[in-house]
Amino acid sequence: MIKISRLRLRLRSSATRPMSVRIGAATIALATATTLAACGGNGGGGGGGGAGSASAEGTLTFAYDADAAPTGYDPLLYSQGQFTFFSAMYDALFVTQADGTVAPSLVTEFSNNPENTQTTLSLREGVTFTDGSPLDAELVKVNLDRRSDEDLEAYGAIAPGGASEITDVTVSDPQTVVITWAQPQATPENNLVDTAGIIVGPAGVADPSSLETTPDGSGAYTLNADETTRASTYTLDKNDEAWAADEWSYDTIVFDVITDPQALANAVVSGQADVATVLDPTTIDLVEQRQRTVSVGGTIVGFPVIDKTGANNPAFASEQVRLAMIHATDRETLVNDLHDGSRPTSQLFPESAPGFDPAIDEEFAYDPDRARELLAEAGFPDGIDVNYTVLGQPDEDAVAIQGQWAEVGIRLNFVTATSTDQVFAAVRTDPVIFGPFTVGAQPAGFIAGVLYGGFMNMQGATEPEIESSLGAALGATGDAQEHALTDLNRAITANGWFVPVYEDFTYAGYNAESVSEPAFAGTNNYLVLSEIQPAS
Amino acid sequence: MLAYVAKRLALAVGTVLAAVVIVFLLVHASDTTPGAVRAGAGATAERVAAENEALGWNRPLWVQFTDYLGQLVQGDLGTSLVDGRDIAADLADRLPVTASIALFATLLSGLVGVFLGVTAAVRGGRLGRLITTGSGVALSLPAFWVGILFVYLLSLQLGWFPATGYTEFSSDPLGWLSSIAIPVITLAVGGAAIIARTAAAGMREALTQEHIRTLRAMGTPRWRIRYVHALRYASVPVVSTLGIQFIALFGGSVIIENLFALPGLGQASQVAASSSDFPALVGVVVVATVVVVVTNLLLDLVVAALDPKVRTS
Repeated sequence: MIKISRLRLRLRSSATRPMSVRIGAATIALATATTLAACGGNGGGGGGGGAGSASAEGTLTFAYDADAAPTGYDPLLYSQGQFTFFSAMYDALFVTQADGTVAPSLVTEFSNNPENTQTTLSLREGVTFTDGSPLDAELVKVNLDRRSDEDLEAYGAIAPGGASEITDVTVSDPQTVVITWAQPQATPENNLVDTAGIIVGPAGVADPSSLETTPDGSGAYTLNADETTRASTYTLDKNDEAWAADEWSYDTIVFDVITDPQALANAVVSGQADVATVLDPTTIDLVEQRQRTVSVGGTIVGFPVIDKTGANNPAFASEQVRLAMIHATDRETLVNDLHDGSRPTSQLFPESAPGFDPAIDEEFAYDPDRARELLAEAGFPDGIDVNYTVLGQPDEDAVAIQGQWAEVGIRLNFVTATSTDQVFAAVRTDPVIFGPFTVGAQPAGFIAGVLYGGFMNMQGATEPEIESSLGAALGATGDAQEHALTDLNRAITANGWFVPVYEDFTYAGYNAESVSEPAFAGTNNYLVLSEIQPAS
Repeated sequence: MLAYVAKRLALAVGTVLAAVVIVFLLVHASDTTPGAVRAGAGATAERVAAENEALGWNRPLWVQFTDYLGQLVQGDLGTSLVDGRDIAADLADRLPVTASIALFATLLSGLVGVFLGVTAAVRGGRLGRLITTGSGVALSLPAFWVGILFVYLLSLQLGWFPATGYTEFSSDPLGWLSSIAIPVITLAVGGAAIIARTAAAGMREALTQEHIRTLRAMGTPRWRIRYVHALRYASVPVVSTLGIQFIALFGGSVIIENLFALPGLGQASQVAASSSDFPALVGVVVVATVVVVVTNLLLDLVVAALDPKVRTS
């Protein structure tokens, strides 16, 4: 009996202690959780506090499928597609409007000399930057003088050696600047538009490394660093002192980075985000069941022909061989099987761009017999081998096209790269590369800067037909330019410089109850942020 | 007990130090350099070399390590190679997101799991088999699929909780709770299944122990035998499993943070890895290691308090 009592006593005492330990641990855990959350500080405010609460009055929540500023806030490090984000904090000399036209922004007037080799810009007065300093001609010159910096993606076309190279920038008076071009530029505004035309403030230009963490623009919004978490949420507060503040509707704009395609769609469907872009094609049906979408073309998927001189693969010096690839590609089948909603195309220019010509699609349609004839005419009746370097597995498009081309004797061989460096180096060795290319609203600019004057022509191939129509397109205006663009478009396909497959579309979802329909910048695949208004 | 605590503490410090050494060496074994990251794609070899020189990359390895360790002790994790931000401040903002979700998911899975496990062991029969089968099914469900399902049901259909995003506790406590609700429930599904199985097995074993039989013979009330004595016996493996679960949830937060667009450590590690931002990557590893080691330490102490055999062994 005594033994049992001792046992009970021991059990009780030992049971009591762990219980208190557990209660203590639970209390600590709860307190820790609360403290952790309370100390959350700048954990990001994106997403809103509850379902449908993101669209609080005065706040626009914009969900992006990628980080808006992965390398900081120097806008010149980015391509045109980032202008949606940067347009809130920075102003550009010219901007693309929703109807696709290019309008002056920091510029009030501009004019060309008779030869179109010099452009005089009159600058807007009353524009100030984050430190209060004003916009003047000297600042524009200092900005444009950064063009030799190869890191500045936005300046690709105006950089030394670029298709629209600027050779000199002169300050005439405090509000006037004169730009001298290497080649005649009939529409100079197209070279200084959106991201390429952004003017950074004097502090940022003097010390570009400061832009890694601190934007320096004259835009209608400033970065709220306390409410910003890199790669996750960027919060911008309206600067009522900005010259264009009245043109913007919202007090706050929150950019949420949502890289998961399903989560991005969920954000706009549930009302967490007012606008979400770029939507993955697989989620469009879901979004359209609850909300609305807008789309724009402008991205052409295809094979730029790199080796047009036949330096690495002699067969590619033959125009017939290159045309054979165009005729051997069954675009309709590929789009029907793999890319519902895309548009099969045999031309480089997007459907809504000036110079688009439906006749090109008919003339260079899928015709395997014609492809075989062309190969035979070129002296390759047994076909040709085409090496194409891929990182990992080739995508489904390339695999499908491999099968189509094999039917006419074009053997597409996948070369597996072990590093991205090897893939980039392939533009010097492979006859073709493959991928989506944002041709956008200014196809002539794409051709000048990338296809003819850029990395897609590493061997410096020349083609008089392309060169003359490109020169005419860049040096003309109105109907003459439209005509030149059509000629240029046809010349690209007819000479086999690009094997187009389909035009891809960019989708954005929006909550029609909170915002009016957003608009893309013409045929560019980015939205005009300033155009987004609360739903009426 | 003091000696035990001192021993575990020393082991924890050693573990953190070992992790720092390993990640430091791994970064130096990489085929790229901070100078190349800083200079950006397409930079000339001269510029990359100049950046490396400026960053001190060419100094002897041990000098770099001691410098880094010195900074680390002062809580300085350096600055990002990509955008120059302060890494310690950035991670301090992100830590509460990941930690609160992992912690609440662990607590919820503990509560639900223990309830289900004890019920399965005590009630047995069809209910017990149902719980066992159900926990098996729950264990086999991938977290991202469960997450999508809950988003569809709780957010898109019912509109109870937001589908994505994170709200700070300080700005809106209810909004904060709402914003972490679906991620926590998602993570708790698998966790509760594991705990239910662990608790059920522990309870079944406990109920066959001699001291339990003795208590029955003494006429101790059934509820007291089950929910005090047997449950205490079964709680040791449950607490161990909960600790491991917290560590797993904390370390494996990348998928959930992506799915719900949460600005936590998982997202930070993904961004750092994809941009080869070495200091940020090392910072994430160090912070995660410290959290894991501290959790393990607490776990060891709790288990030792529950089971005297542990601290005397």
